[in-house]
Amino acid sequence: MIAAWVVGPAPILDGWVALDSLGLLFLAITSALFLVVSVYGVHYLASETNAPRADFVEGAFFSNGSEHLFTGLLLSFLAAMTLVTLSHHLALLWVAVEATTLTSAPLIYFHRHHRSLEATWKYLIVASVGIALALLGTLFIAVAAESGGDGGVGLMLGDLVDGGTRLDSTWLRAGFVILLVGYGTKMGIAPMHTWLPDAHSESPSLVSALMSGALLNTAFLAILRAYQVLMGADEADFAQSLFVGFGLISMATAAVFIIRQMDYKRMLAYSSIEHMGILMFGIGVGGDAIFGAMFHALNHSLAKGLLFLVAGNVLAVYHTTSTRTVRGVLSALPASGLLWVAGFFAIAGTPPFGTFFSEFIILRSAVDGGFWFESIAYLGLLLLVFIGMATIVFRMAQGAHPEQLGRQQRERILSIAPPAVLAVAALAVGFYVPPSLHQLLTRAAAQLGGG
Amino acid sequence: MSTIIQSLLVSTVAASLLALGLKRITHIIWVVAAQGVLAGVLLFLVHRHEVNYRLIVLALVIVILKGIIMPWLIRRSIREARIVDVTEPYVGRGPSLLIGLGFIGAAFVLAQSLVPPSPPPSNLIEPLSLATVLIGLQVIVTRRKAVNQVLGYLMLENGILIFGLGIVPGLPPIIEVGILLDLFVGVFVMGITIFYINRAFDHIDTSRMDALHDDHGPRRWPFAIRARPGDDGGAR
Repeated sequence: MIAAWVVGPAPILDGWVALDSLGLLFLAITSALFLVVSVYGVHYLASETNAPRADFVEGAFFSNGSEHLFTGLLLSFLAAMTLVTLSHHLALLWVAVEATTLTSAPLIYFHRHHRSLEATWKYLIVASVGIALALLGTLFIAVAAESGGDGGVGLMLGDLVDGGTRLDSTWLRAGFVILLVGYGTKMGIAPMHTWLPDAHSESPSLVSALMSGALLNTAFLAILRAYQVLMGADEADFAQSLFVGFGLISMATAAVFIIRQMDYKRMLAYSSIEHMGILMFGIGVGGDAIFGAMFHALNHSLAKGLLFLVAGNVLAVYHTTSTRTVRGVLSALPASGLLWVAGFFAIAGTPPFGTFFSEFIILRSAVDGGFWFESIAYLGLLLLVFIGMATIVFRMAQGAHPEQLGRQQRERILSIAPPAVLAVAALAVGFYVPPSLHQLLTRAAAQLGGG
Repeated sequence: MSTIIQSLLVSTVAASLLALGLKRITHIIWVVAAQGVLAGVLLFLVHRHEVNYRLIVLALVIVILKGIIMPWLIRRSIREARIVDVTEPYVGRGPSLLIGLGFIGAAFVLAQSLVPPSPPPSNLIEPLSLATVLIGLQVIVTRRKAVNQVLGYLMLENGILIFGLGIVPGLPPIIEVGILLDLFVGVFVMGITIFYINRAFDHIDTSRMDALHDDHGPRRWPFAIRARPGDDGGAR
C-alpha cells in the first residue's frame, strides 16, 4: 500500500480492479487503522481466556469463540474491505460489500452470549436486506447502461462515467435512490441505522473500532461510486438534496440518542452515525465541502478508532458499559483516561484536532453555497452532540474511582500505544497536512467534482 | 411459450400472496421454495435461445439451492429450535394480504414509468418481479419470528433474481455469481444464527429480543433468573 502511495499502480483484470485517488484514500485509512488495531489486538486476545466466565451485565456464564477463527475472520474482513476500495466494476463492488457483511457478522459474536447474538442477528438481517436492495439498484444501473446502444455501456465505472449522457435518466435515478438506501444501510445512515448501536455495543472493542473506522467508510465509497456515475450523466443535482437530507436526518437521530445515553459504547456508535451524516452532508453541499468530507473521513476514522480502543480498556477494568456508574477513569487509568478525554475533543471537532478543520470547511461551504437553514441545522446538531457527549465523557473521567478497583491498575503498553498513536495522528493532521496527503485528498475530491 | 412464461410469473406472485396468507411456517417454506424453483425455470426459459453450459448449470444450481437445500436448512433450524409452527405477524394475515395486493398494484404503476429499453420476454416480468420484491420487504418488516424474516428475505431475493434475468439482457456472469453468493452464504449464515439463537433463547421471536435498546429505564431481560433493578451491571 505504501508503494501505491508513491506511484499509482496500473489496473489489472481488465480494469475491474484498479486504484484511483478515491480508492487509495479509503484503502490507506482502512489499512492504517487495521495495523494499529491489530497491535492492540495482541494484548486484547492475550487477556481473553477460553474458559467460561461470568458475563458483566447479567452474571450468566459465557465463553468466547475460537481465537483462531477470530483472527482469520479479521483478516478476511480486511481483505473484503480492501477489495471494495479497489473495485471498479459495480458488480464486483457489490460482491465486495456483501463479503464485508459476511466476514464481519461472526466477529460481533466473539463473546458468545445472547445479547451479542441478538446484535449479530440484527446486523445480518438488516445489512443483508440493504445489500439485496443494493443489488437491485445495481441491476437498475445496468438497465440504464443498456440504453447506450451497441449492446450498452456495461458496468465498468470508467465506461459508465464516460458514457454518462447515453444512460437512461429514469432508470439511473431510480437505481441511484435504491443504491443509496441499500448501501446507506451498511453506512449507518438513518433511518436504516438500526443495526449499528447494537452491533457496536456488543462486539469486542477492536471490532467496533474497525467497523466504525473502516467498514462504514467502505459503504460510503460504494455510494460515492454511484454518485460518480450520476455526475457523468449530468444528474448530480438530483443527488444533492438526497445527500443533504439523509445527512441531516442522521445527525439529528444521533443527537437524540446521544443525549442521556446510558451505555458509552452505544454513545460512540451514535457518534459514528452522526459523522456518517456529516460526510453525506458534505458531499451534498458540494464544492469545497467535498474536500472537507474526504478529510473528515480520515479524521473520523482516527478519532473513532482511538475512542473504541480506549473504551475497551475502560470496559476491561470497570466491567460495565454504563455511563451512570463509571467514574474516575482519569484516576484509575491515567493514560486511558487522558486518551478518553483527548478522543472526545477529537471526535467533537475541537481545534486543533483535524476534525475541527474538516467540519469547518464543510460548514463554510454550506454557508457559501446558500444552504442557510441547513447550515444552522448542521451547527445546531453538532452543538447538541457536543453537549451530550461532553457531559457523559467528563462525568466518566473525573471524580474518584470506585473502591473495588483498588489502586491504579497497571496499564499495559500494548493497550495504550495504539490509541495513543491514533490520538497523535488526529492531532497532527490538524496542525500540518503533509503535501502528499493534501494532494491525495484534493485528487479524491476532484473525482467527485469538488475542490 | 410466452404464455408459459406469463403463467410462471403469475404463479410467482401467487406464491408471494400465499406466503402472506398461510398460517403454518412449514407451508410458507414450501411456497417460498416453489417460488425459487419457478425463478430457476424462468431463468432457463427466458434464455432458452442461447442455451449453453453456464445457463444449464446456473438454472440447475438455483433450482437445487432454492428448492431443496434452503428448505431443508430452514426446516432443520425450526426442528432444532422446537418452535411453534405458526406465524406471528405484527399485521394480521388478512390485512397483510390486502397490503400485498396493494403492493402488486403499486408495482404495476412503477413499471409504467420505468420502461426497459429493449423489450423484455414478457411485459409482466417487470411489474411482477418488483411486486415480489415489495412483498418480500413487507414480510421482513411485519413478521415476528426470525425464520419468517429469513423467508421474506428469500422472497426478496427471488424477486431480484427474476427482475435481473428478465430485464437485464445477457446476465453477466458476475451478477449470477453474486446472486448465488448472496443467497447461499447469506441464508447459510442465517440458518446457523437461528440455530444458535435457539440455544441462547427459548424462542426465535424477534419482538422479544429487546435486551438491546435505548431507554431511560432499567434494563430488563425477560428470562433473567435474577431481576436486576438497576443498570449498574455489577461487579462479579
